[in-house]
Amino acid sequence: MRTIIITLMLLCSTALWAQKSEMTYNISRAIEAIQNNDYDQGEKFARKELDENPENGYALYWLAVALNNKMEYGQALSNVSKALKRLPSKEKSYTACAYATRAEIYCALKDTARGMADYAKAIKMTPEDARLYDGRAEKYYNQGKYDLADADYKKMIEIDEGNVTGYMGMGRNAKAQKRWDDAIKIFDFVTKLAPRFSYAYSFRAESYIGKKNYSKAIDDVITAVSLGDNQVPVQELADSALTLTVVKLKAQKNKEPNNIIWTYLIGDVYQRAEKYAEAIPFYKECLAKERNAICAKYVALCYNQLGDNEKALLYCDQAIELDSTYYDALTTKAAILYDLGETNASIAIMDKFISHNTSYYWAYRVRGWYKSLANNVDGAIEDFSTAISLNSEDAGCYLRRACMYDRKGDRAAAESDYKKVIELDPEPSVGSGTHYAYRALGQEEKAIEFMDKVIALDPDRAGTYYDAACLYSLMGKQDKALDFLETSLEKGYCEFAHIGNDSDMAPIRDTPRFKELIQKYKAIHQQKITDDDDKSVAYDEVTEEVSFTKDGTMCKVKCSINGLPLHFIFDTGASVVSISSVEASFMFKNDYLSKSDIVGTGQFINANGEISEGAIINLREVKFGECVLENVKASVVRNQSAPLLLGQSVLSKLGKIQIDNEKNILSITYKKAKE
Amino acid sequence: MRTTFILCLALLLSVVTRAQEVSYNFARGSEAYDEGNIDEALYYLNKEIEENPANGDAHYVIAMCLIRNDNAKALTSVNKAIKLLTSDEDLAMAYTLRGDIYMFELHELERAIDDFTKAIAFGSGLNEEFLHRGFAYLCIGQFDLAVKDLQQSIKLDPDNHDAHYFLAEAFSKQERWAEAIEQCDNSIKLNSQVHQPYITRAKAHIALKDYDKAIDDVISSLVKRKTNEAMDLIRGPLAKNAYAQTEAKLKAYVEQDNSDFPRFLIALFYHDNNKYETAISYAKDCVIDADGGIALLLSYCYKSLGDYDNALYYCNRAIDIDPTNYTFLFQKAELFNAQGKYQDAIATYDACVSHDPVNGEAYYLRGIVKMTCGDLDGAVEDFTMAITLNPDEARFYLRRGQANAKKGNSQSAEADYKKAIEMDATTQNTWVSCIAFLSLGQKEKAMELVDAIYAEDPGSSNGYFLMSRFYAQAGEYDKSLEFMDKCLAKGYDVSAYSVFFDFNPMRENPQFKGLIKKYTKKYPVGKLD
Repeated sequence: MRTIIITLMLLCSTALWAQKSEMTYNISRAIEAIQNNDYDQGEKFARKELDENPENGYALYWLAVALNNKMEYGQALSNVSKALKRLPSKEKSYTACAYATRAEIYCALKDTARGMADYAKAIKMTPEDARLYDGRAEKYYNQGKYDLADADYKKMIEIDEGNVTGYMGMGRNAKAQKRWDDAIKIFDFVTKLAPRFSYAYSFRAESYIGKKNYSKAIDDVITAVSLGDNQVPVQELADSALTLTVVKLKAQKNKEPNNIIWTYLIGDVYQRAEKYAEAIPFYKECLAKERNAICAKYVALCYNQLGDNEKALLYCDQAIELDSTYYDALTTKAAILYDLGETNASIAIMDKFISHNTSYYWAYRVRGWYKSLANNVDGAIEDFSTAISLNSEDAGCYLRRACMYDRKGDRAAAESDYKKVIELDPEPSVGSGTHYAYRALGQEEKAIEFMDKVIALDPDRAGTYYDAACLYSLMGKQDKALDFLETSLEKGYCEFAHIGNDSDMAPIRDTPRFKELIQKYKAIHQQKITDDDDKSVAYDEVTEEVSFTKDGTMCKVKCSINGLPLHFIFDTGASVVSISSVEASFMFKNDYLSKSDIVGTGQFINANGEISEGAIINLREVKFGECVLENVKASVVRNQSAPLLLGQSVLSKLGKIQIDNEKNILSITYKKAKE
Repeated sequence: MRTTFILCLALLLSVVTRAQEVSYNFARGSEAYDEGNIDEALYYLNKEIEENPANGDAHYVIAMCLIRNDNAKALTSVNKAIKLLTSDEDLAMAYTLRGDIYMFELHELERAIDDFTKAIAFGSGLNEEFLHRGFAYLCIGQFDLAVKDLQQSIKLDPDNHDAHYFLAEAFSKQERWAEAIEQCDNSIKLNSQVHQPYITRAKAHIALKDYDKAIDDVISSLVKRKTNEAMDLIRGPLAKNAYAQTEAKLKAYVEQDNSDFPRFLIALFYHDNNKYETAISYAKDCVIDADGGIALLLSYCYKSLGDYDNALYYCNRAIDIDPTNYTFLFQKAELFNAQGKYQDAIATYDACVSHDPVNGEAYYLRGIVKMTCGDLDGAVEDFTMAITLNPDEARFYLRRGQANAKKGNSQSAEADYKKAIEMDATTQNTWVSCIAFLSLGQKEKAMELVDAIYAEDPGSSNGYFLMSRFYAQAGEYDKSLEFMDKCLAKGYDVSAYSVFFDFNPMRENPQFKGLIKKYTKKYPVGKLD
């Protein structure tokens, strides 16, 4: 009997025992770190646990999770396999997760068969865990096995009818198979199930585009963007329904005049439709409302495309001044400088960019091209080779390197690269360069055939005709080359610096007709450049000191919001801004907020003027000391202890933040426009 | 040995018993829910399920908290409740709740019916299950099944006024008018404050041609709530079939009720029936015009009389009251158009477009004025934008076709006329198709169509207007004038002849001008106060 009692007690405590032994301090820390996406820390604590308990299956599992997320697949695989041997057999949930993790790793290593086998094992262990079906369905989707993916998504829905992922998965499958009506029906349901789930709208927008129902597509894009989604099919709308898209965005802009996103999107749509002159005023309007390096850069890009490189440089420099860490602006500057004829300056800028982005293949490709134009053949080859080592699938890198090998006289290397170009880019597409490869390999007829097909794909694209001019120039067919050059110039090609530099143009550069064309179209282009009154904007660096009081571990700073005196809590860990529903409701009832300050869809104000949790509101002005933040988006939350929580990410938009805990001072160093 | 065994058993049993007591968190959460403190309820109930994940009741209450605000989570919670609850009564309630989520939140009526059926199968005998399923059947058009369920619901709870009302609706759909009326009577007896049963009963009376009772019911409904549905009954079938009775009852309503609404309603009624001066006299008696609606109605009436000064005066009043209402701006633009002040009309439409860039109608109307002024490129551009915004609108294609024709783009014009006919046919063939066929040179077909449309309402002012318009487009001006005279004699809106593009070729015709003058009535520019 005594044995029976002990056994009974042991059995009763087993469940607790497993949890107790799992939740060591190190494992708890590892889990916490991984949940906060800090995989380095997660790995560190898991390894600490293993140092003390090398056979701890849970630690091995969490270590594998951390390593998997760091894409260290080899070690991840090894550890998860060990975990599977060491986890207690009763721990079905953990074991199933371990199989699922291993499945993910196998799939990342392209061993799909083993991956799918592990998913099956995981599901067999815990058939009611919807997440496992989700993981497997995702793999089926990637393999194009939509029926199997559907079966898994249906199972997820069977387990939990409120599972939005299941419906979204089925909708995505239908969309992938161009079953637009089915997809729309499913996404319709998701928008009812979870009205604030933005992807339902953006996916439905894609389905409407498939059906060419652009009006509804645009409405859905607008809703998705209102809900914070930026993965919306803007390019497709710019290509197929520019006028309607712009009109609807303008209407939305009228409805929410304080929400800068609509102005930005109008600029974006115009830019994507290559209507650069139309895009500029909208980007400038954004820039005026919010000192944003991205907007300044886009203004620069648009001016560059229009051939007004003086203005392009002005705005590019402004972008860099606004945010010296915005390295994308450097590549734009390099392009502008090249177009201004300053190739060496372009190379220097690219050097700087690459020093901050050493693994970005495109940067090497671009620098290599500039070097090739500056006749630095060896330097160009080196850069193209580096680009290829980082991305071996880019035909353009091989093409340019091949040209350099040819210039160097290394015919064998050149031919090898030309053949690679054809292998990687066999089908005509806009921007393709395979016709050059054919020509270089002596297959002129194929080159011409390819070129004709590229032109047919987009008969209005000026750049394509320029390519054709280069091709025929290299083939020694002067008249044809000049005809194509004229067509490209007529269609708006305006990269005159490049035409002057381009070695492809050498065979025709000295012809009278070439000179006439350049003279004529340069003059036309000069007249077209917009004559707006652009002044260079200069900035002073200013440091503002704002005192705060301590509230526990939080910094409390006095401020005013839309003129209402309040205070905010400065939270270095926060990535969003939040305001309590009490404060928000008070502000609304007392006219510190209006209806137009409520951003996005949905009814968030009740009949009593109370603003509910979940609303996003636009705080037109948050002022503290001499610092002013404009148009800050804040989420309304229930927490009444924090009237307004401002995260570091928002304050850092102002400038550099330093906290002096001894003197209780917040120092903000920022750029202030000179008056 | 035996003592030890019993002790162990007692220990185990006490553990089980403890689990069955209501926990503090669940009790607190339920209390908060009952008091309407949803956030607090969720806080405690979530705590409860952290500690006791198998508490089906907690999941059920969480689902109730989340309905409307988070349907996905509500559905997840009620599903968990269904899996965990054991008693028939609890399961019936859980299925009913899920059915309600499907029906009212997600509009998935088939799934809702499925769930209500499951709830009913548990045999709890609750009338809600039959009531909700009956309503669902009603929504999907399965009226026999709806009737059966609603009757059962009434059997279980005869005092539920909603059940009687829904049953009335089901009978109405089946054209069982007497039964519908009976159920409306019952519903009203149980709760006379709800307006819908009056409307349903009114419709049944209309079907039985008992117009007196129908009018009484519509007015009763309007007294409870001012709905467009009720007003449409007055302005539609009642005005058409029982004009005199409707007029008399509305007058009585005005006598009995001193508020503005009855006056406004009767003014609308008279305006719809081309009795503009009478409409004006009632509208002017209204005291408060909170949203500019009364000023707008006065503007419409004066415009219809051809008194544009007064029309503009009241239109401006409306705009002063609500500058954001674009209907008022449209009216103003039309008035400018009617007076031949085309640039002012265009400027006003510009303002409409600027405030509401997705308003296809604004582009369309501006396009017509531009066409009248001879700005054909501008007109085509505007019609094109209107079409972009509303690609199914037949009129837009027709007018663009006419603009293209005037420009000499005959191919484009022909394509537009054909598209107009195609679009018109998908709704109902109207004057658009008549003019489009005419423009394509298919006069016989056009005539056939116009005769068919006229035959639907022969001798009416609308019919005469259609004919005068058609003949104006056909270039048969004498015939057009003949119908114009008949039309205006019946009190038709005289401004239509000044505004509609179709009559442009006749504007300088002395007879045309004479008729306009004859039927225009002008008054001193008046005041509302």
